[in-house]
Amino acid sequence: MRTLLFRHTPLRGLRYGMVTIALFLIALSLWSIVSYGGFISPLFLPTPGAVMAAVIQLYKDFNLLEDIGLSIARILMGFGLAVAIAVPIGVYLAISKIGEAVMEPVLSFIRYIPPSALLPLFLLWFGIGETSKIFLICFGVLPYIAFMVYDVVAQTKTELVDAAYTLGADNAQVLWTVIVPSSLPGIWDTLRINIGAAWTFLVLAEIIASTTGLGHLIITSQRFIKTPNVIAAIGIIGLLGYGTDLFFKLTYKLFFPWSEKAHAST
Amino acid sequence: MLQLKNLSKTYTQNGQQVEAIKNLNLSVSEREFIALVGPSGCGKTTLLKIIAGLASPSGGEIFLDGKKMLNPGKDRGLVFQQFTLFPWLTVRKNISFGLDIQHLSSKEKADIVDHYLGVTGLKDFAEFYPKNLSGGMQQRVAIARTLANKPKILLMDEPFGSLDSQTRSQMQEFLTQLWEAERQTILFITHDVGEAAFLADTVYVLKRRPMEIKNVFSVPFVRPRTHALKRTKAFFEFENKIAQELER
Repeated sequence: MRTLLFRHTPLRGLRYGMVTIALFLIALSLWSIVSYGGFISPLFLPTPGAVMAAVIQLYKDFNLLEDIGLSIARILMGFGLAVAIAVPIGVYLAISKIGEAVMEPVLSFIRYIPPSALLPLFLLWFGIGETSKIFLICFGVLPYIAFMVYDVVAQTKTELVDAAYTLGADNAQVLWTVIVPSSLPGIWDTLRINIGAAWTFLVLAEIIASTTGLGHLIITSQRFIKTPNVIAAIGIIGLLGYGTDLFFKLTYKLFFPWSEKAHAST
Repeated sequence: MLQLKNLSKTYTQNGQQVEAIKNLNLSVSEREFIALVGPSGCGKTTLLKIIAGLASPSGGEIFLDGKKMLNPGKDRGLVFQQFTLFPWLTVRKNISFGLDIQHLSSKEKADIVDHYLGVTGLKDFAEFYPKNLSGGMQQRVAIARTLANKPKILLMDEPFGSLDSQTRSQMQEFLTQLWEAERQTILFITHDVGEAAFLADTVYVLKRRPMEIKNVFSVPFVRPRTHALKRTKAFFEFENKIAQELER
């Protein structure tokens, strides 16, 4: 029989992992063939061995862990600050009549300014210290989080709100016992999507104005034509991102066992 | 106990004034089971929302035990046509939602919830999430959730409308038994004449746009009622009489 589209059950568990490993091995072999085979100059694409050696050297001699730690700390602070501001704004926008009219133009305006264009201003205002980097991350993701949270909260089912009112809830109780819990899975997904963007802004800030962090490692290595270091740093960022995503996926299942989606996602 | 006085509702649709309800007067006595039957689109849901305080009337007043009603409150429980269980709460937690809001002691809450879990036959499902329940079970939880709150009147808006016909029959029988046991005042809305005749003491037939009461029928069948009643000639004739009035 023919395989019909959208009828299959996605792979789970062991088989899912096997596909992941197979993909990784294929990519690694292609990389090995072109680099060890001498098809591409090591200046442009070093061998996997050279990159591994770079990671070890960076770890031993150049405080790689400190760079990683600093980058993560900046992400946590910038992203945390953005969440702390954007989530209440998004919720307020969705539940208040005047909120939308007041806030939406402002957020739309901010949203269309590339955060990278703000960096020179931030550097001028806050110097090249931690503040400007944290603010860049924060302002980079804040409008998106606010908008997506707004959207999630606005989709709260009216029937659930009505049910709560007829069960005797007042406005505050409807907010905290219906609107918030019903929006939490969507908000969690919003965070999962936006923390990826936070990494982009972090690396940007570290490339332009920093003496530490993975972005700084990338740009100094590039200046000294140490391509293995550049690839090592990019690979580490990728792994950290993968780990973050996994964290959000697993905690989603843990926090929201009641959600229809908790079944489906791996 | 419930009185509607000159209730009207008009709204604007595509720039036109629509008169949905016009000078509606109705009173429901204590421990009475009243059914309102009307064609779809006659504003039945709007009426229940107004009584529940979820929508405001354009004119007229609603009294419950002599007090004028303006806002939603737990004295008027509403069971909706759509599934409205809180998906993040287990069956037990859904039933105790109204009690949690009132900050009752946990002993009191547990007693009430256990009683309604028993009444609705949901004891084994207390720790289930709504997503794991069938439609009929979800509506039973919704009824239990509303009853646990001890409303003065139970408003029901086609509560079995989204169920398949077999489950629907079972739920009608369940509701009859429940009513015979608890004698809760109920205002039930449906477009299904048979359902109204089977469940209620009094059936009001409504006319659409604007909604007005066309006629009132007292249901002659003795209680307890079982589904066998639906296959008797007397029931068929009574149902027919209401249906004709509805179509007239």
